[in-house]
Amino acid sequence: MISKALIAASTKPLILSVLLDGETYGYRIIKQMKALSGGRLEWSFGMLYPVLHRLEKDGFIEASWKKSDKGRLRKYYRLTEAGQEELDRERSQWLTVQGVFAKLWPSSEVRS
Amino acid sequence: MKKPKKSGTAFNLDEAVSHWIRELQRSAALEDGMITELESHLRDEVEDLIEEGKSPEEAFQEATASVESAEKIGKEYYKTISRGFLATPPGNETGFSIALFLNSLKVSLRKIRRQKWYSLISVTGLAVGMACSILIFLWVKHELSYDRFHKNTKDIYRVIMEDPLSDSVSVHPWLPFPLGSALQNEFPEISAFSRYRPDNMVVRYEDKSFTEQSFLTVDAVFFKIFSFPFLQGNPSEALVDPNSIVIRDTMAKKYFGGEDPIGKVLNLSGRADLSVSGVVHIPETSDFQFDFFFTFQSYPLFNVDLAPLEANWSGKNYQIYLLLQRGSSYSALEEKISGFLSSHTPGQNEVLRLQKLSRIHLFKPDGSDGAIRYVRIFSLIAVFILLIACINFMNLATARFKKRAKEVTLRKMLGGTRRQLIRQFFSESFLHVLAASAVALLIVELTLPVFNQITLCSLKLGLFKTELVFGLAAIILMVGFISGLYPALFLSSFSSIQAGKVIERPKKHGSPFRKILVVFQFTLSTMLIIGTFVVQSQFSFIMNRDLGMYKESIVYHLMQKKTRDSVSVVREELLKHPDILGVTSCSSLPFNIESWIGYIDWKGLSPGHRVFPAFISVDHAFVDTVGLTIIEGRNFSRFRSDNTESFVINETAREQIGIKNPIGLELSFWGRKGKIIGVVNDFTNRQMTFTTAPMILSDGNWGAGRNYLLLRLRQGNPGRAIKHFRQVWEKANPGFPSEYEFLDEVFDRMYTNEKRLSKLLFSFAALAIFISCLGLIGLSSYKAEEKTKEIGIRKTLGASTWKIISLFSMDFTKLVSIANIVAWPIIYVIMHRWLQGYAYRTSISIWMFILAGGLGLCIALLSVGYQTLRVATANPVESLRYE
Repeated sequence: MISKALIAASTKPLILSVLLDGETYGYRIIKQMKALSGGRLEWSFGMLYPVLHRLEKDGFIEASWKKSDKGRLRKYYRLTEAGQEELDRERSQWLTVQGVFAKLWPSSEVRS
Repeated sequence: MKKPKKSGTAFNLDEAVSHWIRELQRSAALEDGMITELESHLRDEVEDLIEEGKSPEEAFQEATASVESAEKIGKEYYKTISRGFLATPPGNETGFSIALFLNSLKVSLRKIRRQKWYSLISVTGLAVGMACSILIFLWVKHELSYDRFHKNTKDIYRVIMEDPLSDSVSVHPWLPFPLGSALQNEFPEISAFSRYRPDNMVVRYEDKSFTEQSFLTVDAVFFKIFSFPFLQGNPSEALVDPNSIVIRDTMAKKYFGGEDPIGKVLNLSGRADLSVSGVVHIPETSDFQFDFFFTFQSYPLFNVDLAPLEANWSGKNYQIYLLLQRGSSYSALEEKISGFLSSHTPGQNEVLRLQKLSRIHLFKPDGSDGAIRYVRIFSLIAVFILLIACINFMNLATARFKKRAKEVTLRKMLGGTRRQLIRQFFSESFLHVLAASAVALLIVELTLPVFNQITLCSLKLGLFKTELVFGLAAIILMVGFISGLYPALFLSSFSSIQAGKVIERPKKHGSPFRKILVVFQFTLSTMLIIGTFVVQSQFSFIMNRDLGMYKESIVYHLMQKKTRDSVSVVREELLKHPDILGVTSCSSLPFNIESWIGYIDWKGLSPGHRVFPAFISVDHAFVDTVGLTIIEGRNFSRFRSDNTESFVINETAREQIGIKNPIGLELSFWGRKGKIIGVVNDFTNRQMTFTTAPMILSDGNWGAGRNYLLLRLRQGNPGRAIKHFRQVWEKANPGFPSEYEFLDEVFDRMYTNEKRLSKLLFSFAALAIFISCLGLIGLSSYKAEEKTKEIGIRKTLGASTWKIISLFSMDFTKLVSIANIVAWPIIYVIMHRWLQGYAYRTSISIWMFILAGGLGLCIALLSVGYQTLRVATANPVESLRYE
């Protein structure tokens, strides 16, 4: 399991990154995260949606309602320009941290 | 989250989802859009799970399992939406919300502004009431703090004597001179003692000379027992040298101005020269209000020998204060000393007792109530007034809140919860109470100078004293809570439909609670009025009672031993003036006898029978000058025969001796043998809380020095006679000031307490009525307003204005009458008991009750009538259009 603090810190850049591929909706994001992490990153929707709303309010993403093929209403989220910039900032920070870890942990010692 | 029903019917996915949605809808934080999004998510997940091969029910369970509750989701949402750390979703009432509180405050202020008149009435009433009680409690605290500042307060006791008289026991603190040291020698738990004897002298310093009446002769350890603060000098050594004297700070200023008083020499009565060794400050809260202190060791300087005093066990002119060892039991000591005096004076069975220092100011020596009576009366009044003011406030508050049923309806319809309404009502009532207490403090601050003038205290409003802060906080909490309670609980419990109805049709007997409060309030006010009447009447009774002697147009002058002998010389000179009708010298002021020096003993006196008279030494002119009547026998003769003593007694003494014709009765008194030559009428000879004391008059030059020179002047213009007196006096006694005072002034001063009491009582009773009436005005105006329509209908149907007024006054008349019926017996009992404290008392008469009742009713009707009149005289069309 991943610690709460790390989840809290990583949710925002992860969501923004997922949206790089184009607009998507909440359920898909959760599924995608589960798949990418091999089931280890399992977000509850009680956590996800508030964050989405927050990001929307901050102007990093924008939402639109669309009908699904089954006629159900879905809220799709899309990255905005500001979101793109925010993601760039986040990415450089995460890469810095990652670079340091990479140097500290020779690949042989990395255990998964 | 509740699970949908499982058993019985088959699982219906749509139903389960919509049930889940309804749960979510309860959370006020979730908006519709969010819920749609969540529903869509749920359905996606369930579909996927069904595709994986799960049953719809299993899929639903699994999809919703991860979600804890709707409320929690709502909170999460709310947090992200609003950034304030205090944010809680609307409708989530568990937490305290500043925003909501500010809103309550805003609404409250708006209400106050809109109902200015009512807010003014209720706040004023409460503020005045609170101010009164604060003033009274300041005074009570002052009274209770007498002589409690000494380091040894707990271990200081005054010795008291129970003196068995013929028909009663006299309990007083006046004791023989040698008793103190004898007690200390016998009982090791007494670590120190000091005798105490007040005196007066003429003090001279350079060219300044005054007669000073506040001398205290003590023992050298006096300032070690009592810790009066010294401004200069050393308390433990200041009085060791017999040539030294300690003076009060005010006297240092009077005699020496800015100069350093230490070492300055004061001449006392032309006899002794004492040098100042200390300057002491005597706080206002002490019963030792003296200006000069010196020791008995200085007596030889005045040519008074100590040896005979040390051997005199029968003269009782000294108080004795004991300092006990820390931790020794006073009751055990009291037990041991009780028979001590009678073992030294055989045949007499005086009993010694101890009185705690801190009780001296409040209680009489026999333990009965002294000043504590006033403390109790005024504490009671403070509580009464505070109650009246609080009741008033609560009444007005409930009446006002009742009008707000409409508002409650509206708030409820818009989704206000009960808790919010309660909070609203409480914050309003607390706001009023807070405002009232601020105003009260202001009133206290402004009226304190006047109050101090009446009470002769210098009280201060210490805002940061813990008692005051706690007291105020308690009042604010109590009044705020109680007055907010009714509307908070009652009004908020309406469902919105009920609340709507309340406006339409008020319950017919809707306010028994309020009626009881009005009755209670008027009961208290009526009691205060009647009490004031009784006190006033008792006071004027005392002041106008026939004293059995003159007190007008008599002046007195205080003499010293040295100037006493000049009386025979100056008398002739003085009487030459046409406006001086009589001149006499005596040892006490006639209506305030200070000397109690022994028993009357005569042949045939049965054992156990004892007459303990007040003693006064006079000359032959006393009876005529003071205006007494000889009712049997004769007066003292101008030419005194030295071989036998002559005594004149008063009627009470004759009665107590129990011999019908006592003229010629041979008796001995204080070691002097003589016979009774006359009986004089019973003139008032002490405070009128007591009956006239038995009394013995002697023209002998013993027992007590005749220090008082009394002059009876012709009524009218005393100026010339007094000028003549000064000339004659100063010529005969150069260097001794000729100061004088009128006897009726002294007499008035003896009753300042009563005067002050009745003045204060009157103002407080008036205030109580004022507050009660404010309440009535408020209540009646509400009632009038409430019934505007009814009045309009009655008028259109032909009722006269007068009829309407009487109809509406009826209710209040009833209440005030009930209040009177309740108040009368209670106050009768209280005042009857109060009067028992006086030997001469006025009777409580029925007119006081009728007058008080009538007064209360009149004032009540006036305040009610005005409000009704306003509505009753209005055009009925206007009234009917109302609402």
